[in-house]
Amino acid sequence: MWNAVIENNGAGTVEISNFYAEGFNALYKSPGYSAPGAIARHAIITNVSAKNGNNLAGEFGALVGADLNLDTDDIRYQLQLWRYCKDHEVELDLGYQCVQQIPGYHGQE
Amino acid sequence: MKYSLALLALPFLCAAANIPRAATVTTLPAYTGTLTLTTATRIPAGGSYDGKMKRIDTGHPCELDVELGDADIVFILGEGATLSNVIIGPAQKRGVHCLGKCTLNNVWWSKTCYYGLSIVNQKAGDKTTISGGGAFGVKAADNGMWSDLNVMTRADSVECSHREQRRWYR
Repeated sequence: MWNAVIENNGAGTVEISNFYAEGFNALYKSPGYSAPGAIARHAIITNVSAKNGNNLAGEFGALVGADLNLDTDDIRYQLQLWRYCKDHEVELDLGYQCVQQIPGYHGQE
Repeated sequence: MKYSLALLALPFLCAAANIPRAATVTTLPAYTGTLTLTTATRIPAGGSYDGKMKRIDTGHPCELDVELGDADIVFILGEGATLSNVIIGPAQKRGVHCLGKCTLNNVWWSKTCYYGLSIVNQKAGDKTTISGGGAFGVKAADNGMWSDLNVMTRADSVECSHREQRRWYR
């Protein structure tokens, strides 16, 4: 079972704001595609609280080497790409959290 | 790519990220009544539906691996439709489908079944807005692919044999 709250299976933008999610694998996900850049998708996530989840955003494709289709202009969202609710008891407020407070973050691999 | 740029800028941005923000409601709101709609409620393109904080589901229990029929989805929104003020109840196989761009205002899922909202066929350049609301569900068991990486993986959740090759490109 893979529990996503919101899936974008089309193109375009999804904007999520003032939202709460508890118990999830992804707040937002969109499936990957084999051709790089096949479908451009944008996500803007602001003022979201999340608890007991794995990832706030994910994109999944079975093929290795597909380009990253997820894009965003929201820097707060970009910060959250790194680490989310890894420690499940930690409540994470997007739009407020600093990346330095995200457990386990060690910078670029 | 954008993410590399974001990394370089992180120390600076950390200071800037602490901006005031409104509190998010973190508990399921009380519902004003319950409603069982045994087939999907279709909101026509451009139309709107206000659930008035009723808890609405189809009465059919969650099943993950199922060919979806009309009885399995609580709301199907046509392009440009709006759904407001509703609590999707637990007895459903899928919560909301949007056939194109759509707007959800104060929509809650008391227990998601596989996913809460699927935007099925939004066009490039269109935008779906989810404002307010929330979702409660069950996180699948950690399969180890998520916890050890500093970046998200693009690995499929059931086929992990090449996980090291599946990190996000940035």
